Parts: sequence; structure tokens; C-alpha cells
Amino acid sequence: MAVTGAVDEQGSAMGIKGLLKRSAVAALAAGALSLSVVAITPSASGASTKASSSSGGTATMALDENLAGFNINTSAASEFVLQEIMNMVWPQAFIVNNKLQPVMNNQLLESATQTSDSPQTVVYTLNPKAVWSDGTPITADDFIYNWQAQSGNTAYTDVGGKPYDDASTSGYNQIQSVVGSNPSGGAACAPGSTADRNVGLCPNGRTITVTFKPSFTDWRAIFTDIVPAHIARTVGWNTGFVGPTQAISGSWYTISSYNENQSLVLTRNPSYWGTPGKLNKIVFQFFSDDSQLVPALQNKEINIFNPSTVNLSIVQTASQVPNTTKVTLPGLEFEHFDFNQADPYLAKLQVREAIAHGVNRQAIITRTVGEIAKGIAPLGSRMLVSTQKGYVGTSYAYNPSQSDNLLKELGFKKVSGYYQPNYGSQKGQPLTFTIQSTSGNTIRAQTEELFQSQMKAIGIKINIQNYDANTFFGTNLPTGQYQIGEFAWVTTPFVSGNQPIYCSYTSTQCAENWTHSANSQVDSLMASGSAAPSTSQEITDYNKADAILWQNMVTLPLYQKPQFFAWSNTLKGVLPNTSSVGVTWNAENWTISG
Amino acid sequence: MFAYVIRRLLISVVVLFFATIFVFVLVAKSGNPLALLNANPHIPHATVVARENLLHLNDPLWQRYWIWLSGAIHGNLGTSINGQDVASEAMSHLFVTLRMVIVATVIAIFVAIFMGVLAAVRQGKVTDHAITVTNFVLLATPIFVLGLALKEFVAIPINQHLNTTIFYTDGEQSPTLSGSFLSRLPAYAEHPALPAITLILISYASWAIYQRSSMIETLDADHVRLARAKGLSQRRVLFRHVLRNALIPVTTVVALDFAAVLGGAIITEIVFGWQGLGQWYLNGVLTLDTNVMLAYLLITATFVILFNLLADILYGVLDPRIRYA
Amino acid sequence: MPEPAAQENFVIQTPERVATVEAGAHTLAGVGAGVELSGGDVHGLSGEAKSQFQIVLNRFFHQRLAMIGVATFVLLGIASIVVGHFWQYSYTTITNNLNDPPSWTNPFGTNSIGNDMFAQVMAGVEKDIEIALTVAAMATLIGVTVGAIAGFYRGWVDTLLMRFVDLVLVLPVLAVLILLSAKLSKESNNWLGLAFIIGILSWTYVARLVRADFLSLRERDFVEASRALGATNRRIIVKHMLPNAVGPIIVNATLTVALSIVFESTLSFLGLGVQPPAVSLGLLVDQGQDSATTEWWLFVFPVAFLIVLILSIFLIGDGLREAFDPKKSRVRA
Repeated sequence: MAVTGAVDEQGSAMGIKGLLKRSAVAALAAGALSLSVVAITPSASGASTKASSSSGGTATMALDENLAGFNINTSAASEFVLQEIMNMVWPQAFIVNNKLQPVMNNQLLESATQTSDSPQTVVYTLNPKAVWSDGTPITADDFIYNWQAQSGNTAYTDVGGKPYDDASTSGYNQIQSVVGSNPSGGAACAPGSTADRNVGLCPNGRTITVTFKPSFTDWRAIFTDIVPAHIARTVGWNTGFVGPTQAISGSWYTISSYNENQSLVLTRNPSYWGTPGKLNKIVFQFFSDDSQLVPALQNKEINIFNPSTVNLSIVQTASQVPNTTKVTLPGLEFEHFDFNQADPYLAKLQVREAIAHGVNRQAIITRTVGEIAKGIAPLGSRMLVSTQKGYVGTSYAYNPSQSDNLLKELGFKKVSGYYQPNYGSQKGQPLTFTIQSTSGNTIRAQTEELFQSQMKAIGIKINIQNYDANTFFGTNLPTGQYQIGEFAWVTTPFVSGNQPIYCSYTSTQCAENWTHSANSQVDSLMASGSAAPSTSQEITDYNKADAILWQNMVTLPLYQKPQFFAWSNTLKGVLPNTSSVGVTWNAENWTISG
Repeated sequence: MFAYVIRRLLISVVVLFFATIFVFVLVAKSGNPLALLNANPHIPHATVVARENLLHLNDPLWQRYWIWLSGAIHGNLGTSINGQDVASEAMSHLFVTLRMVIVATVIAIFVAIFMGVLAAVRQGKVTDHAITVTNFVLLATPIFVLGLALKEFVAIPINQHLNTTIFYTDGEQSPTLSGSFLSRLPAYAEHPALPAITLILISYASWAIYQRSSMIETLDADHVRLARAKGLSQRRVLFRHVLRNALIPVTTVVALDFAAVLGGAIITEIVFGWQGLGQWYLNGVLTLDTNVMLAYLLITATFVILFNLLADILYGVLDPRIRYA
Repeated sequence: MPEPAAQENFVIQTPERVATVEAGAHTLAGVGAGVELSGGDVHGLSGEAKSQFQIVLNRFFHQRLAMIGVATFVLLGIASIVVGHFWQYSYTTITNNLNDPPSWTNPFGTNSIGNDMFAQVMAGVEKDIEIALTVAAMATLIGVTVGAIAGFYRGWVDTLLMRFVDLVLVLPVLAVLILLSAKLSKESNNWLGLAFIIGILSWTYVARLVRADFLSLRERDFVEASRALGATNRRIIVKHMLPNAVGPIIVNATLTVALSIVFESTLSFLGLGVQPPAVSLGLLVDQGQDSATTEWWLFVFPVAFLIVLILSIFLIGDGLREAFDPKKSRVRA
């Protein structure tokens, strides 16, 4: 369950579609997080739904990115497409369901409860029958190893003394200890080995006690994609998981074959202790180009797809494919304009406001994503998206005459259609900004062109210059080499993930604040929100912070990016999930007919 | 002959050596492949450092090149950015590409010879004009346009009309393949159909134009006139005297064209979603994966050199008048 | 037998590809579609040269297909400029017609943000021609200079230059273009940069061609005569030898125009060429490819114009070749 918001890479494919698309880099921000809604009842939907019979058959799903290894918890292999596979292969303590709520996996765990608030203690009880597909029981040792590998503590090392390669250490780095107890069958605790760094931790225990310090309210987000410790210690966490031999199963399905860049076949895990998956096989076929998805569905080469970037053509051509279910949902990512206040002109609130009032967001939506999904409205918050509980939308009017007033107020003069600043390097010249984004993304290019024409109307000149994702996200944004940026942030069920993006850039904790904005009120509201005793109080505080961000026009949110799912009607049981676990979150319940 | 081949090979190796330096420097100066990773505040610094060390990113340029070169000499092409072994990846992708390219080239040669001969024999007649115009239109069509058009306007409508999959539009094989090699053969044959047709149409046209003009040239040659004058049958003249001589240039051109065919394969692979060498290379370029790019250029350059050499040798074999010192 | 490498290069070329064989090829020279100016030497005598030129021109004008090519190319060029200046929409204009099929107001329809496709396609044609002519000029200039120097001076200069040419030829052009343009796209959106990198990789053919011509020309009597009369090397090259090699150079320059459109459109298709908001035909094909079966006008028009544009240049090139060298390839009546 890769959670929270970092730089969006969805659709940032530079040049060739199909590269660097969606990354599932688990980017859980540090700090006390709390769940907005929690449902731990075993009877909750999804993961716990029982099936009395296995119906067999094969479903084929398209994936539009290639794999780079199987350990999804490493930075090298952490990809959305791999998450879609590993949902069915590696044990997940919790899985985010289609209502964006984390639900306990009641086949792996008998219970998972927070037993103490100070220090925060969580006790997991494993199903005593839970085993890896090679017969090794799933035990406390797996939890101990997964914690150590992702703790960020350099005392723990991978084979050969190498530091662990982690996609994220969030959550795990707040764990004080992981201790096992109650080995199954009343056996004695194993002493553990020095080499395995689990001496005295009762590695064969089936009850696991996890202590956090400081508290980690978002504890349900960790112990997902649990890596088999006994394999990882032999082959290595970082680069050892190269194929099905190492990536053994601890869940419904096992990887029976993998043909690099072509296909991956999941078959029912014969050692699975719980309710078996309904399909005999789930085949993942790797596509290099999203434009090939619809033809493949049409040709019955695949049964389901969920493109990493959806465009009008995919939706339109898919709509012509008969006997197919098409679903468009507002996703957790939202596109926005980012204003760099380090720029002497964008440093002026009036300039930012003039731009924001001059942007007709509805017109941009209508001409770009609006065609893909009807009813998309301008987004009114940076903290939560409209599909999340607690969303408070602030409206910001399209008002070009207000833009005029603001620029005049600054003393800028309009000469032959463009305002000329009265200070700085652009003094006496048309007020000009460059907007940057990722190249090779049609919707972004179109948005920039519309922005350019709308700015021209209010007397601001816009140049467009796009870069590949590596340069844009890797260099230009973090080093402040931009004026206006267009990209997406990913929100999560956990609102405090926004803290590092909007807290004052002067603090080292605010590594993702690229706008050079600073506001002590925003800082204190977000800090108090994160420490709030209740989720509703937390959201209230964050929404107050957002209101200040609107007043300061730090960024201009545009819209939630729609996600598109299409599957043939022969495939049943699909429940689209817009979170980063993807549509396969309940693939064990899929069935196919015909 | 032998000495000549050795000499050519030596020169080629030197050229190749400089080509790798050129590419290495160019790529190394293109930017930091780990910039994205580095910018992600959720990734521990130790992870980034470890990845940098793995790729020798902090070593001086010449040292990095030396590491690559000494590995390459021993068949070790290093690891990709994500830690995969480049040599083994390259081989699996090469297999995919060759499957498409070899089939397409062989068929294209036959089509080119047939069309060329037909046009030459019917010189100035409707058949000739039709073939020539077709060839020129195909020459003027960029390969991605042809591929897309075949996919969108031929393959998919046919599949839809027949309500079954005749033409596979994506990937080099079906994912659910199982069973013996023989039982998989039909599936192996189905997938390459569309990309192969694309490559054939693009490649054959220029070869057919050669074949035609070289045929016309030979038809005019003295020994052919003599053969005709002796009263040999048209068929006999055509096959015994004309075709043999007219085949020499076209064969050579095919061998020399291999670099262009590989270039065309990049595009074909992208249009039809084949995970071949070209697609792999392009990914490497976009992710600044130095070792992947170098491996691709090394492999393709080796092929080009070998085929150029083959062209030279073919000259000698097909035309006994040429001797190599 | 002499060593093959010491012999003249045998140059074969097709409109699409130009291949060079370094081998004992004199028996084959002239077979196929090889280009060499035949029918007398120019000798730098203006009168004779003029008549020679007229003969060539005359031959050229008498080819129907070549004339169709010229007419089409000129028409496209003029239309693209006229539309750019006088059509009611510029390619950047954002109209209120979204995804409209072709109509009287928008003859080629509109795309999803409301751009007029007619204006876009014509802007694409203009950009393609701009790039292609720049590439051809650049490639010809470099190629002729390098080829002339190598062929005239021979020796180590020749060896060095030709090994460099080998270096370029040994790598698939498209692969190197992808590499260079990916690097370029990090730095600028400028189409001149794109033209530059295509040009950098396109001059080698011309260089080989000119070198081969010069190797044989320098042994000719009129060169000896000029030298005896005390002409400088530079004068001999420019005044006496170049005019004799002008046929293949022009034919090749024409084909370079066509080839660079192919390269540009391919790179744009890959997202590495012309970057939005600028347009080129390749970029339009890329943007329209997903709509091929729904908004067909977004795909069909750019494709048609791309093919027609390249075809027209091929026809011109083929006509020129025949005009310069009627004996060789009688492709058609």
C-alpha cells in the first residue's frame, strides 16, 4: 500500500509514452498521521469477502510499464504496476479498499489492535496457518526483518554489508521495537540468531508487538508487501528479487512465469491457507504504449486495463468497444500551477492573484480532461480532493478585470497589449513568465497553450518550455529553476502528508515546498492538526491552513485527474480503486465467464 | 582475401572504440540519471549513495569509461540503472528484434527481386508504372505512419469485422502461451505478421528500385544481346544471363542496408509494442541509462560492420572478376 | 589486383538510403542508380557549362512526374506561408469549436482544445520545410567541403576524414539521432537545434560522393592544365572541379531534404523532435494517432500531407538524377 503524496510521476512520460509513468514510491511523510476513516471489522468489504467455490478461468490485465525487479519496497523496483501484481502475491496487513479505507487482511491476520497510546503499541496476531509458498511459516521474523530493512537505521545492512535500498522509510523509522511472542502450537520462542539480528525477539512468534516512538497514527499504512525474510536474507533485499524463484507467495496467487517486458502469469497459490482466489490464472501483459490498450481490449487480447494516463482518445475509442464496462473516476491526483516566489515578480501577491484570476479553470477543464470525464469541476483545496471526506472547497473566481486592477495597482503599465513592470529586469518590457512541465504529455501541453492564451488576454506573456521528468522533477523544481510549474500532487487518505509541501520553505522538514512560500500561521495550523486527538479536528486545522494558502495564492489547484478503467463484461467482481494499490486490490474475487 | 577481411575488421574495431568513447561522453554529460531519486525526500540518503556507487556516478569520467571498457571486453556490459544485468537483458531483446527483422528481411528480398524483375521486364508498360509508383509512395511513407495506418485502418477493422483476432496489434507473443514449442508455433507466427508486413513494405521498395534498374542495365549488356542473338529462349536468357548479374548489386545493398533496417525496427517495435532492442534502447536513452545505450550501440554497430563485410565478400562470390589483394 | 581500399569508392544510392561500398567495384560502377555527371567535362568554360546546364534543365522539365513533384512542393510551400499569414486562424488560435469535423470554417476540423487543424497542418508543413532546407543546406555545405578536401588532398587528411565518416556510418542514424535529440530536448525547444543535429548526421553521404568524384577528377587533364597555369588549389577546387561534381551534389541535396523530413517527423513522433506549442507534421501525427478511428481528421490530414510532401521531393530528386544522368536509370518514360 503505497500511500501519500509526493511528486507526481503519473503521465510525466517524457517523449515516449510508457516510460516513467506512475510510480508507487511509497512516500509517507513523517509526523503523526491519523486515519480519516478506519474500518477494521473483519466483515468489511473486499479483502474479507468469502467465496465458497473457485470458478477458474483466466483474466488478462494490461500493465503499461515494465518491471525493474520484484522487491516493491526498493527505490529501484517501486512501481505502480508492480504493486498491482504484488497485491495478490505478498502478504498485506491492510489493504486500501475502493472506498479509500484501509481494511485489515483477515486471512493473514486474526487481529491488529492498538493496545496503548503511550508509547503507541500495536499488536498483530497472525493466522497460525499462514505460510509462504515454499512452506516456511509467516512469523514475527518477517515483521522484524521488514522493519529493520526499512528503518533507515544504518546499523542494519543488506547482504554483503550494503545499505538497504528503500523506496521509503516512513513509519518504519518511528518503530522502536518489533517483538514476537506465542509461537504456534505453544512451542517455545526461538532464540534468534546474531546474523539475522533477531536475538531475543522470538522470531517464530505468531503474535507481533510493535512499539512506535514517536507515535505513528498512520500505522495501518505499513507492513504491506511483506517481503519473505528467509529469502531476502539469502539473496539480498536490494537486488535479490529478480524473478519468481525469489518472489515467493504469501497470498492468494503465486508467480508461475515471468517473461520480461512481455507477460507475467499468476496462478493460484497451492499453499494458500485461506479462501483461494477465484480465477485460475491472472495474466499481466506489459504494454509499452497506452494507445495500444484499446485495440488490445477490442481484439480480446486483454480483459482489463487502467491506463497510467488517460486521454480522450482512449476513452472515446474504448466507448466503441462493445460488451465492455467503462468507469471514469476522479483520482487522488490533482493538477496545479505552482508559483515560484523566489521570482521577483511572482513574489508579489498581486501578480500571483492576477494570474489566478485570469485563469479560466473551467474552460481549461472543458477543453482537456472535461472531455474524458464529464462533470469535473475546478478543485477547491490542496489538502483533500472532492472525493474525500472532509473536503472543503474554496471557490476562486475567474475574473480578468480583477487581474487588470491588480496589475494596475502595482503600477504596471499596459503597452501594446502587455503589462510592463516598473521595476527589476523586466522594467519597461512585457511581463513575461515561462511555464514548465513534463514533455510528451498532451494534456499538459494543451493546458499550457490554453494558459498562454488566457494570460495573453490579461496582458501577461507566457513562454512554454517543457523538460523530461528527470530534469523537471529532479532538478528544476527542487533547485527553484522555474517560474511557473504545472504538475500534479497525489493526495492520500492521510491529510498530514501535505505538511512538507506547504510548511515554510525555510524549515528543512519542508523539503517539498518548492514555491518558497513561508507563513507561520500555516505552519502552526498544520502542526497542531497533526497532533490533534481526533481526525475531524486535524482536518479542520488543515482546511484552515488551506484557506490561508488560498489567500496567499501559493499554488492554483486545477482539477482532479480522472482515472479510467475498462474491462470486458465477461470479467466480474472488478471494483475500481483510485488509490495507489490499484484495481487489483480485490483480484482474488474476480471471476470470468465465457 | 583473408588479409583484407582482417584489415577491415581491425579498422572497424578502432572505429567502434571511438564510437563508444563518443557515446559515453555524450551520455555522461546528459545529466544525472538519479536526479529524481535524489529529489525525493522520502528516500533515505544512503539509498541514493548506494545506487550512485553501483553506477560509479561519482568517479571521474575516464575512470568510468575504463570500468565499462574493461568489463565490455570480458562480455560484462555492466548493470542498468535499476541494477539489472545489461548483457543478459540485451540478449533477450536482441532475440525479439531479430525474430522480426530476419523474417521481414528475407521476405522483403524476395518481394523486391520479384517486383524489380517484373517491372524491368515490363519496362514502360502499365505494370512497370504501377510498381514504380507504389514503390515511390512507400519510400515516401515514414515507417511510423505506415505502421499506424496498417494497425488502425487494416488490422483492427478486419479483426472487428470477423469478430476474431487475425492480426495481433501489440506485443511479440501471447502471454498465456504454454505447452511445447511446436504447439506455440502458430502463436509465434501470428504476432509478427503486422510488424513484419510494415518492415517488408518499407524495406522492399528501395531494393526493388535497385533491382529494376540493375536488371535494365543487364538486359542491355552485350553478353545478353549475344545470348538473345543466339536464339536462346527469353526465359533462359532471363534466368541464366540477366538475373544472376542483376542480383549482385541488390544483394550488396541489402547487406549494407542493415543499419537502416535496425533503425526502422526501433520504430516498428514502438508502434507494435514489441519489447525488442530498439524499444529497450529508447527506454535507456530516456532514463539516461548509459550502459543500456552503449550496449545497444555496440551490438548494432557490430552487426553493421559484419554486414558491410559480408557485402564486400558477396561481391567477390557473386562476381568472380573481383579479387581481393 | 590493387588493394580495394585504395580504389575509388563505389557509390550507390536510392532515394531513401545511400550506401557506400568500399570495394573493388570499378566493374560495377555505374550499375544501378549511381549518379555521375556524364556527357562531357565542364572545364570551367562558361559557354559550354551553360549549354550543359541547359541540357540538364531541359531534360528535367520534360519529365512529367518530376514536374508534378515540383508543382506540388512549390504549392505546398506557398500555401503554408500564405495560410500562416492570411488564414483567419493562426495555428495557435484557440477557437470555440472543439473536436469539430471538417467544415467550411475549419476545412480540416478542429482538435480538442479548439485549434484549427488547417492552420496547424499548414504550420507543420512550413516547419518541416524550414527544417529540411536548413538540414540540406548544412549537410551539403559540410559534406562538399569535407569530401572535396579529402578527395583533393588525399593522404592522411583523407584517411582521417573518412575514418570519421565511418564512425558516423557504423551507428544506426536513427539511434544516434534519438540520443542527440533526447539530450537536446533537455536544453531547448528550438527547431534550429533539431535541424542542426539532423544536419550533423546527414553530411557523410555527400562527403563520400564528392570525395569519390574528386579522386577521379584530380587525375584529369584539365586539372593538370590549371595547375600548370599556376592556379591555386582553392581555385582548382572551386572553379574547376566542383562544377563537374555538381550533378550528384544537387541530387543528393534534394534527397537530404526528403530524408530530413522523414527523420524530423520520426523524432517528433517519438516526442523528441519539435515540441509543442510549435507544430510539425510528425508531431501532429503523433497527437492524432489515438484518434485515427474516431476524430479521423486529426490523423488523416497530417499523414496525407506528410506523405505528399516527402513524395513530391523524391519525385524532384528522381527527375534531377535522370536529367543529370539520362543513361543510367530510366525509371520511367
